[in-house]
Amino acid sequence: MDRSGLWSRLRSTHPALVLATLDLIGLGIASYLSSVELRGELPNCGPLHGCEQVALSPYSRIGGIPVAVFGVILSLVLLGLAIAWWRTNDGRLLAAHYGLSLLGVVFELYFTYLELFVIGAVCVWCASYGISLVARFLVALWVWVHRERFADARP
Amino acid sequence: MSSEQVRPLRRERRAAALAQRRAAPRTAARQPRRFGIGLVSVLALLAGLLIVAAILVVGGGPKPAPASIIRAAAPAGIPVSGRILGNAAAPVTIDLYEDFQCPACLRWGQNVFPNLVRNELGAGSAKIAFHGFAFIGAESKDAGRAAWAAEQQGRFWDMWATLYANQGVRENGGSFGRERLIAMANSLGLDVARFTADLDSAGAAAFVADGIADATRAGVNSTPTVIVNGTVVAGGYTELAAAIAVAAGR
Repeated sequence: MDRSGLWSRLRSTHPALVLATLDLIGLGIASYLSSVELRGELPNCGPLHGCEQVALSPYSRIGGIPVAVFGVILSLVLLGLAIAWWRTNDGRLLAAHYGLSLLGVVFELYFTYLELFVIGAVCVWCASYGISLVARFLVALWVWVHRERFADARP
Repeated sequence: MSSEQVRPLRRERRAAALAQRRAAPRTAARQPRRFGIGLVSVLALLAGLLIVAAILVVGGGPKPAPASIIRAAAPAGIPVSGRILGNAAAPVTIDLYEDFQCPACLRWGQNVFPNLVRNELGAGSAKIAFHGFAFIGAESKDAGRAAWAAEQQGRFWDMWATLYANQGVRENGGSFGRERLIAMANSLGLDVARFTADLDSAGAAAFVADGIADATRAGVNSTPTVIVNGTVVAGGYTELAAAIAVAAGR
């Protein structure tokens, strides 16, 4: 396939697949953090530090449930919405994906504030999840603004 | 069938579908405008702010000191000998330096400690030796004195668990005030008169002062610090279990 053919193929790819890929990345990160936390361990940051401090802080749990578990739930819901939108092309599903990812970004801003100004440490895993969430929000926003382009994209 | 034959047909089908959709009145598939981006954004922002507000009010972060005393106990089935928890003859010693006001110590007790109890302490392959490092403030020292006073009645680890269960939001904010410490002793069924006398004794004061001096000599500058057979172990249960296995020669 030549370059123009590849570009044409990419352009015809449903953008829900991009959202689903980002959702899978977020799901992977949140699943790792959840499994570590639920096993009573600390995330491995490699040469970077801060994960331990964030994980050991009282802010890493809400009502006794690790924050990462909520990240898993959010990513699963977003992934389901992306796939459903891909299959049905129903704009309401894109709207739901956009709204939920924006809600997640609001929480992410709050958690980043806690990391920077209260806990005094940054967890690179949490930051990666946050970046994936912001990316999902931006992609959903861009797709929505340009939705006419994708109205006829097929799976 | 060759690709030359297929491609024009696919293009034709797509073009026809596109023309059909453009000609057709708006369907549910093309109605995101109904759910205007502004409305969804405002709703999402409001929901996000509500969730954050709810977390601030009732959810995450450090909890205020409970108004009533929470009674907690040392893990069942694990031998206790003074400040040693676990089989006294265990080949591996985990030296644990803590401050009862330290939130990270509370989390260590919630996350790492249960795994230790389930595995190494339960199997008798390791034991924990507690060391007080009361550096956060006056209530750290008071809590340390309470732990020592409970130890005089053979209940150090019950008081250890109870102190962490009653750790409050603010350091030196009254969580480990004298009345509350006595109430904790009462909740554990200790001889309160004896506990109170021990709380005020020179022995309790010496325990706290010696703990700080010992920790400083050992190079401890934060809590919790975990040392396995002389080697500081950072991280969580996985790292600790690996260090215990190495120390045990496994």
